[in-house]
Amino acid sequence: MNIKTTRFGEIEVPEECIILFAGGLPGFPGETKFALFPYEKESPFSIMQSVTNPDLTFLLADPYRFYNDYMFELDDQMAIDWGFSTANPPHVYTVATLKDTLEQMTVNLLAPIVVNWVTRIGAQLIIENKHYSVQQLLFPEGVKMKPAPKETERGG
Amino acid sequence: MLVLTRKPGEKIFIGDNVSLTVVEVKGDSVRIAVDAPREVKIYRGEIYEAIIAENKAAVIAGDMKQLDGLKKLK
Repeated sequence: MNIKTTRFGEIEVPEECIILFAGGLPGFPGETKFALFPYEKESPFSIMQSVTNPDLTFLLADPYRFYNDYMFELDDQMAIDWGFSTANPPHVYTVATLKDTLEQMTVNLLAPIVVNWVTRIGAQLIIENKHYSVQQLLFPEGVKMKPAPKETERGG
Repeated sequence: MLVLTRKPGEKIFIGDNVSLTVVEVKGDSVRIAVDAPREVKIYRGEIYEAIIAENKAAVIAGDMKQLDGLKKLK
């Protein structure tokens, strides 16, 4: 489908990229449909663009590429309701906030976006964890990726 | 806005499915029990407000060139 956007002009995105957020997002309760696509091929970043509001564009970051031990608990009933399983695990994104420089960019670890790519539904959860911040620095050691952990060290 | 006075043990119903009970008042703290269907999300006010503020701050303003430095990251 074609989407009018302020940042990219008119873009064509496949239906498979359109995610329904039935409850909208905190602060944007009426925004229920977003296109979600990679920022660049193999990038840890994605773009989330409202289908109905050309001005509403978010940058998302894959939290596991930056914080190896990032975790939160998904409500059992939600996992069942959403049809998550080992064959269809939830995909997790965090919302990035741009600052004056990329070094100052932060991500919101307390409100991850969870997507079921099979049913194409999503939601922004609010988790409680005193170790995480709504403004966690993404690049505390400069704009680069940490070396990937060895396979044996990777969490489940 | 409706403002009510309640004593410990007393309740407030919001609609048909949500009730608040004042459990205890101690100094400047009030303990409240919330009874609501599972699909009704309940958050502490300051947390929910912080998420709203951060979402609004996260909307990309300006052009995408400011992100060019991220292109090299794989």
